[in-house]
Amino acid sequence: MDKKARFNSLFDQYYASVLRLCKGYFGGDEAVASDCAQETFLKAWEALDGFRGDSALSTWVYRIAVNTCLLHLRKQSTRKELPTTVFPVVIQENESMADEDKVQKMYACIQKLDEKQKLITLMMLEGVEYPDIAQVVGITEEALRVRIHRIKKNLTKCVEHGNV
Amino acid sequence: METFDELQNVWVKQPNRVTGIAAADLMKRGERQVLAVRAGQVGTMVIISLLICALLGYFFAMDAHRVNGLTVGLTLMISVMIARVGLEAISIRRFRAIRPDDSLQQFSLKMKGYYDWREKVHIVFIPVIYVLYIVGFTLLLPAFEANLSRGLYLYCLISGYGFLIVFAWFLIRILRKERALLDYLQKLTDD
Repeated sequence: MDKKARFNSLFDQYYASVLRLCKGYFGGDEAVASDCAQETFLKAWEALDGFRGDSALSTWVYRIAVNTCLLHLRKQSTRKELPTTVFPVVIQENESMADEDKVQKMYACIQKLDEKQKLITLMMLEGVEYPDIAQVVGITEEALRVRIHRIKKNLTKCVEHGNV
Repeated sequence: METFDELQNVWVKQPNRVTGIAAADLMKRGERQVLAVRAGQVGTMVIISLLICALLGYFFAMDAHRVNGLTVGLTLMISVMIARVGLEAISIRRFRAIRPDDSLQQFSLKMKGYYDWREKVHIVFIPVIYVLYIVGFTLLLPAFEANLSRGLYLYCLISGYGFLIVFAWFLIRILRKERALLDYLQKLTDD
């Protein structure tokens, strides 16, 4: 498969997921997330020739995405923090509104976490396998498993009550 | 209480409102970006080389190879400019060595190493270069005063020192920003 075909397939498979990950990282800011996702794929395009298949392609893309989110700090001097202590009361007219409310709460809760936890949480939400998350972050699977239970508990608690 | 799996289900179903991005556009942008980076590097090297040539030209045109204030001043300015270019080239090479597909842990460590180096450059090398540049410029002033009209001399004096003051303010801003980033990376690698 030539480079363009490989990139097209990579883009089709992972763009939506990377965009969601970036949105989560930047507190739901769609414009910044879109920039970050595009930057991720620009880097992937430039680095694709160097991909030797040492890891799964998904792991490789998530590594670039995670590092790109971190590097975005170089361009942003101030970071957006969402107030999370009290969530706005939303009248849940239908399922879609209720889901949107939950997503907003998740954004707010994720913003309260430290950088590593934030990125691990986002990959867990994306359904990335634990061995792959461990590879992306660069920690052992054992160390990851220690954090996972706490992350899950804290996120559900935070979405429910508004605090970690 | 909602379970994590339920939250995950909601998360992956969320609509992405930003649309209109195509793989083909990104490939084109990627290719343009590579060309722009190469052009930028060549452009920077051309501008700095021209500046060094202009200073060297002035050096010989003014008979500055005989030892006097002008010689020392110009030599200092040329030398520190070459040193500055060298430092920048090292920084660029070090930054490029950081792979975007490293693990988060490795990436943070390498970025920290890079910003440690940058801090050393800003705190140790740049102030020395800056002071030597000011000394060099000050040594040129008597020659400027003797050879230029009063108006042009004053213009050189004010714009020369004015530039140095603005440059110092700019450096302090960069230093503060990179210090904050270094603290952040330190926290990340400690975790």
